Amino acid sequence: MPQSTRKRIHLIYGCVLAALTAILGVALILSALGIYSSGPRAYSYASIGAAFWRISALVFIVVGGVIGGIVLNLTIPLENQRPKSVRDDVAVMEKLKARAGAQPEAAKQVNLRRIYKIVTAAISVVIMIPPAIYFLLPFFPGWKEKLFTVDNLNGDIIRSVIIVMIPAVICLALCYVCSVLIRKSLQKEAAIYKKALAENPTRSPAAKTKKSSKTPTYVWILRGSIVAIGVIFVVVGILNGGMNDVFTKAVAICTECIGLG
Amino acid sequence: MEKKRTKFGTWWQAHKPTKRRIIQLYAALLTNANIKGFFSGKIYQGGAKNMCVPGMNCYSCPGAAASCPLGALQNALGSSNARLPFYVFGILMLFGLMFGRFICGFLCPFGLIQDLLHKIKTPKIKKNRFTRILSYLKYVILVVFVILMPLIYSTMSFPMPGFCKYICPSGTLLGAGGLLSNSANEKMLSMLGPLFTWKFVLLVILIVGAVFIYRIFCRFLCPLGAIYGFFNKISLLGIKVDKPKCTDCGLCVGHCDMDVLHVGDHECISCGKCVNVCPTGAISYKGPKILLAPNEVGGRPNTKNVDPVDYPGTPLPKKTKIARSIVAGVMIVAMVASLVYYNFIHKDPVTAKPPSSSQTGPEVGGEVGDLCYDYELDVYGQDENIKISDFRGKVTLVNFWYIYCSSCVKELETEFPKVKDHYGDEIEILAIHSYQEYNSDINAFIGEKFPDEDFIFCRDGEGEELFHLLGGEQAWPVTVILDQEGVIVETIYGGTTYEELCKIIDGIGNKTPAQPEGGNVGDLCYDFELDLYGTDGTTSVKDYRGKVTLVNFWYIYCSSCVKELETEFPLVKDKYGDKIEILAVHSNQEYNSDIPAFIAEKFPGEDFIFCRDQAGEEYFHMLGGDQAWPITVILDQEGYIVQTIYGGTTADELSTIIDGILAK
Repeated sequence: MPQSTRKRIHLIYGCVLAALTAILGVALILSALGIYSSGPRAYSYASIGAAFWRISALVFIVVGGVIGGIVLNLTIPLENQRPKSVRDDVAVMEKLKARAGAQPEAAKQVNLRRIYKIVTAAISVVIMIPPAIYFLLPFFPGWKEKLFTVDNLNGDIIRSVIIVMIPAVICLALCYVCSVLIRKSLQKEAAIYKKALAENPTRSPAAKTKKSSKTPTYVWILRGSIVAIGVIFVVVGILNGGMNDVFTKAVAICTECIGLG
Repeated sequence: MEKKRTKFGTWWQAHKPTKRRIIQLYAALLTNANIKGFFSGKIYQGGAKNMCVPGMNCYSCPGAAASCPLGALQNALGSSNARLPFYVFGILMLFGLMFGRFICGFLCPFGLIQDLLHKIKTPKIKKNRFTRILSYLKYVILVVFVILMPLIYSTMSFPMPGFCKYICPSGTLLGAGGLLSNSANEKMLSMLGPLFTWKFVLLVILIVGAVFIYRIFCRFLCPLGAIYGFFNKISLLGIKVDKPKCTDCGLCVGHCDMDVLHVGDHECISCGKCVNVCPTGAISYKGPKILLAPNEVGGRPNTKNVDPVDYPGTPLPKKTKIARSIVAGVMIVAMVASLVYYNFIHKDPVTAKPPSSSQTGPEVGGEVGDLCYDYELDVYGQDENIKISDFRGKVTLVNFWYIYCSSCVKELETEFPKVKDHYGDEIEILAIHSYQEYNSDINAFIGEKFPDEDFIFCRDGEGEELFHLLGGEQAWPVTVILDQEGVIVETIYGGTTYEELCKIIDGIGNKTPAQPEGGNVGDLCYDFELDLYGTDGTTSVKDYRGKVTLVNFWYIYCSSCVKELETEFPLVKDKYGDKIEILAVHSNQEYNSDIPAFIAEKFPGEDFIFCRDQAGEEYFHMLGGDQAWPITVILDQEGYIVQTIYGGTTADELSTIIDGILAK
C-alpha cells in the first residue's frame, strides 16, 4: 500500500478516535457533576454504577478504538516521520557573528531585545508584587486573622489562588509576547549578518568557540557540597523527628490528598 | 557477519519494549510493591514509609511502598512551626543530585501512565512557543501550592497540603481510585463531595489531555519535576552533549517532545530520543554505562554519519556484559525481595479486638444500633481518666481526630463549637486524639488552638484502639454519635457540618422528627397519587405506612425490570408476607396500551400493587431516577426512604435491607 494511502487511513482513524476520546472525557466530567449535584453524600456504588452504565457504550467503543489503533499500527505501519530541526537561534547568531564580524545595525537589534526583556521583567515584578505582599502578610501580627478566617477557609483559599493565578497568567502572556518580539528581532539581526556575508563572504573565518565537554571542577565541588549538605540534612532530620513526621503522615490515608475531603 | 532473523524476530526487534519502558515498568512496580493493598483496600503501614520514593506516587495509594516526596515536603513545611523540614530537603537534594529529571523519564509512575496514554493513536498537539511559556506554570504552582500555602497555614497550626488537596492527579487516580474501587471502603464514598468532584474533573482533563499533549502534567503542572529540574545540569545521571562534536543541527531539540531549549536543560527528562537522532553521536548519557550505553534507550537509532560502535547490535565488551548481568540480577532480587516482603512477610497492624465478653454485654458493639463500647480514656492536661459511660444521660459526640489531619482540626475549630453553643449541656463532645503520638506537644497544640472550647480532649487508649472498634480504618476524622443511653445512633466518616450534626441530634431528642418530604435516602418520601391498573382507583405510598414498602419503578420494555418482578420480588413477598408491601410502578411513557393485559399474563398470581406513574415519569425522577430502570426505593414503616437501589436487585439484597428495617 502506498505511503500516502497509509497516512490517510491513520489520519482518519486518529481523528475519529480523538473525537471519541474527547467526548468520553466530557461525558465523564458531566457524570461526576451529575452525581455531585444530585445532593449531599450522593456518591455511592449505585450512583457511580448508574452513571457509568449510561456512558458504558462510549467507554467500550473508545477502549476498542485504542486496541484497534495498536492493531492498525502493527498491520499498516507508517514510516517514521522526522520532525524538522529546531535550531537554537542564539547559537546560529553566534556563528553568523563569528563569520561576518561586528555589524552596527545588528547592535540595535541586540539593544532592542535587551529592552524587551527589561520591560517584561519590570512589568512582571510589578504585577507580582500584590500577590507577594498578600502571601507575606499573614506572617505579620494581626493580618493572619484578617486574611484567613478559619470559618471560610475554602473560600479564602480560592481567593488566594485567584489573587496569584491571575497575575501569573498575565505574566505568562507577557512572556509570550516578549518571546515573539525577541524572535522577530533575532530574525532581523540574522538577516543583517546574512546580508553582510553575502556582500563579503570571506570577511572572517568561522571561529571555533566550542569548549571541551569535560565536567568542570566547580561542578564536582558543587556536587560534593550538595551531597554533604543532603546527608547532613537527612541525619539532622532523623534526629529532630522529621523522618517520623513523614512516617506519621504516610501511614494514614490522607483524605484531603486523594480528594475525599 | 549480520545475523539472519526470522520474520517474527524482525517484527519483535521493531516492536519490542525499549529499555526505558522496561525500567519505567520496573520502577512503577517497585514503587507500588504492596500489591495486596489493592485487594484488601488498605494502605501499607510499615517502616518503609519513613522513606520517600523518587517519583510522584501518592502515599495513600494502597500499593504505595514508601512515601511521596512531594506530599512529605508539603507536610514538612506545614509542620515547620514545630521543626524545620531538614529530612525532606535532604532527601530531595540527594535525589536531585543523583538523578535530576531522569526520575521523570524513568522512575515516575505517573510519567509512565502519561507516556502510555500518549501512545493512543490520535493526532497530537506539538510543542510550540506557547507550551514553552506554559512550562513555567509549574514553578508558580511550586511556589504557591507547595511552599506558600503549607507555610502560611502552618502559622495557624493548620496542616494544608495545597498541591495534594487541589491539584495532584496521582492522589485521585492511585489513591482515591485504588481505595474506592475496593468494596471494603464503601463507607468512604459518603465522604466524597465538591473536592472529589473537582479533582476528578481535573484528572479527566489531564488524562484526556495526555492523549493529545505529551506529558501534559509533567510539562506544565508538576512541581516535583520543577524541583528536580534545578538539579538537571549537575545531576550524576542524565544527558550530556560533547560540544566539539555538536554541529548545532537542531535535530535533537526538534525531536524532543518536552519544551527544551537545549539538550539537558531543566525541561529535559533524559528520555534519550535526542541520543538516537544525533547524527554525530555528540549526545550521550552521563554516568556509568552499565545500564544505559549511549544510543541504547529509545529504540531505533539514526545510523547515518555515525560510528556504529555506539549502537545496539555491536557486541559489548565482556566486562560490561558481566557488570550488566550482575546489575540485572541485583535488580531482579530486589524486586522479588520487595514483593515478598510487602505481600507476604509484612503484616498490617492488627485491628483491636473488642473487650472480652465479661466486660461487655451482648448488645455492646461499634456499629449503629449497638451499645457503644465503654472505654477508659486519658484526658489531656489532667491526670484523671474518663469512661464513655460517664456521659450517659446526654447525647455524646465522640470525635476521632489527629493533629496532622487538617479536616479534623477544621471541623473541631468551626463546626463542633457551634453545636456545643447550640445545645449547651444537653450534649458532650469527646475529642479523642486517636493516633500514635509522634509529637509530645499535643497538649500545647490543644491549648493554642482550642483555648476556650468546652470539649473533653482525650487520648485513645492504645493509639487507635477505640477508633478501630468504632469502625475507623485508616482515614480520619470519624464522628460517632451516641444517644442518652449510650447507643450508637450514627457514625459519620469524614468531615461533618453543624447542620448535619444538628439534624442527627434533633432526631435523637425527638424520636419522630418532622422532616420535609424528599426523594433522597433519609427523607420522608414524597407522597404521590398513583393510578391503579385494572381498576379506576388510585393509591399512594402514604396508604402503606406501618409496613415496609418497596416502590419498584419498571417499564414494559425493560427486560431486567420484568425479570426481577418475575423472579426476585415474589420471593421477598413470600418471605415477609404482610410485613411488606410491593408497589410496582410503571413509570415510562406507555407505548403499549396492553399493560394491564401484560400484567395479567406475566404476573397472574402476584400479590403486588401494580400502578402507574401519573405524569409519565415524574414520580420516578423525584425519587432519584434518571434514564435507567429499574429503581427500587425502600421505605420504612414511617415512610422514610431507607435505601434506593439503582439497577436490578436480588431477593437476598432486599431481604438484608428489610431485615435491617424490621430489626429496628
